[in-house]
Amino acid sequence: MAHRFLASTPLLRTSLSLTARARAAVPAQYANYVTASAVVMAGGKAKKAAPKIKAQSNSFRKKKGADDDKGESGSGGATRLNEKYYKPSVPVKVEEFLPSTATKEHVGQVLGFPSTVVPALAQTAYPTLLSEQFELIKPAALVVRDSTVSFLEKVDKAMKTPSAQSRIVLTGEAGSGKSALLLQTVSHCLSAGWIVIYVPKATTWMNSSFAYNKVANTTSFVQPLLASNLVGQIQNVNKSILDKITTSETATVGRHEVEKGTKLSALLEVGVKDQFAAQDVMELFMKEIGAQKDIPTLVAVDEVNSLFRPTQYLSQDGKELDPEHLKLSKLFLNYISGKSTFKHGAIVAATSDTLLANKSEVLEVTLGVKEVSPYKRLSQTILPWTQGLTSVEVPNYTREEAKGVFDYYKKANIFFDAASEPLFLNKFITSNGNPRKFFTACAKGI
Amino acid sequence: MLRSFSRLGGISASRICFQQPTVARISIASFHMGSRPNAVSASTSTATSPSTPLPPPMAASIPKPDTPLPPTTANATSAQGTDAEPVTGASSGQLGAEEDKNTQDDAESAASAFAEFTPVSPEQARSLTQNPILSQLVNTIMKDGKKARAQRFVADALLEIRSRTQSDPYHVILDALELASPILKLTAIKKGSKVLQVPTPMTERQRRRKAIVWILEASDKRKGEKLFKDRLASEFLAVVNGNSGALVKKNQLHKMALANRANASLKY
Repeated sequence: MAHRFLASTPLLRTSLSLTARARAAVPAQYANYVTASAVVMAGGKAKKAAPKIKAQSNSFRKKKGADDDKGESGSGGATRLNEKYYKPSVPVKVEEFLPSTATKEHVGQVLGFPSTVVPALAQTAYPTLLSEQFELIKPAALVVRDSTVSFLEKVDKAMKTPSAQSRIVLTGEAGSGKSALLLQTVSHCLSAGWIVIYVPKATTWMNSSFAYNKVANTTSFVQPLLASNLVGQIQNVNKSILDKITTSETATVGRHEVEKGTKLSALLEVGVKDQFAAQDVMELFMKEIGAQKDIPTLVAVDEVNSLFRPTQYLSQDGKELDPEHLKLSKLFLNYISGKSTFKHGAIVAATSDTLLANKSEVLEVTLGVKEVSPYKRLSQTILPWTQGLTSVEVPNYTREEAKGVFDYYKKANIFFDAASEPLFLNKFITSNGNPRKFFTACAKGI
Repeated sequence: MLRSFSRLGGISASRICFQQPTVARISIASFHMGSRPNAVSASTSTATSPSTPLPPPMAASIPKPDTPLPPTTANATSAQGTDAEPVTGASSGQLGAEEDKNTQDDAESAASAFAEFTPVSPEQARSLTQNPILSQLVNTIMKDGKKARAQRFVADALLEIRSRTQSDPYHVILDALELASPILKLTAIKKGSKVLQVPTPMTERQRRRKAIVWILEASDKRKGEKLFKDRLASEFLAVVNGNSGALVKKNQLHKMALANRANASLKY
């Protein structure tokens, strides 16, 4: 019994005498069981016995070592995935959102963007919070609502009228579906063959994320890279349509000469290659598409409230610039305010409540969304740009629409509870039908 | 005895369910998988066959869908005193009665050793406030009384698990907690001048808390993931995949308990 303790301790290798080793190795409580002969035997046979006992204790140790190795290498090394839980992602089957399917019969159904439209929408990013939902559920799809059907009817009527007569701003509470409705309008117009200029985040134009240069002898500033990016996006979205339209006269854009009869897609190519010519290309492009009547134009701007408040750029005096001092923003503001017009087309914009700092009080007061004290002085430089805009309010989900969305979320495995009526009521009532809160309630349960 | 202790290495299939909050003295015999201390005579058959694990509670006796709503958690605790079997059966039956496949999985998970209390209605099975396991997780994460923040973390982590695995995150968490939870703790007692480590049992809630704390500690060590919810989700998945610091800690504790199993018979 004693030799077990001797061999299993490192005392075997010390220079202590045998008796000292024996005394040290044997625990006090077992001292009664140690006999002198056992200790002597241990001393003599320790080396002989060592391999055997070592083997025994090593086998225990080896097991321990193996377990430790698994723990260590497991935590840092190659990962084996638990097959029970890792499953391939299956896209949900949805019908396509086409002009033929955006009707009253389809209200409450979730329809996906058509395959012809998806590459065009991929040129620009989706609105921020919507893109998170689209990351989670593939493919990107939105529900057809009553407000969708009525709004698209309005846009179709605007097809044959000047854009100055159809300048619409979508308003509503946070998360009520303004950006989604704008996306549906963009998809509808792309399917219908319009020229579409879609700006998903107008805030990025104003928050000094692009370089800006002063134009000589004026108070205006130019954003070359931004203009070049925009020109490239428009070209990729409307490639086939722009081949059909040509310029009506020769013009100079930056350092380049553009001949009469150049295809608009070739004109845009000039702006893509030379960013310092992009602003002039953009202005000429807008003039040309506005002058023709064959193909209507849609200008869709999201987060439009940032176009109606001071920008985060500074002038040479250190004062904040207004949007009208930036040439690209001024170009769009001309069309939004009706100073310039397309012969056939519409301007649709949506406000955004995502960042409180970007709210435009002037716009809200002019649209009638907010009431403010008459003694409060609104910015006189921005106020003229907001005249003549019509406001369309986007409501929360109706019960039918919410039910369709709920069934879609269940199909997409956003939540795993049984899709029962009490659960639906729970989510619908706690979120008050607000689309964003409804999604959060279904996906996260809070 | 040695054989039954070697089972501690693969403890995830264990069905030990200690019903008293603290048990001061346990005999070595009680470490047999099948028996529980102070059990009512209903389990005599299992006490005589130490190597067989406990049968899944109420698996054969899940009631039909027509039964009334199961008792609430308050009723369940009072019922436990009279009934040796865990009371999950009636509640899990309510869940198991659903036709949906996921809720059949719910019945299986409810039948696990962890879900001794199940929520009242099926639509609250995964509720952060009503589900006892998720609410314990939320409370353990909560600091300074900021419950909404903790709920947000857990909800976001669940969504992250779902987006990475395309499967029910609730089951992933249940499985991870079961895998990471130890079955014993070591209590230090003084015998004369020596401090001895005595293996003592833990309640379900204590075991689960230990698992949660280890998982949280392991998630804090993760580098490269900035958001807490990402780290937490990664850690749950690491546990389920078998390579987490929490599992290492559990195995170390079990080994220490095995080494000190002789002390279990000591009276103190």
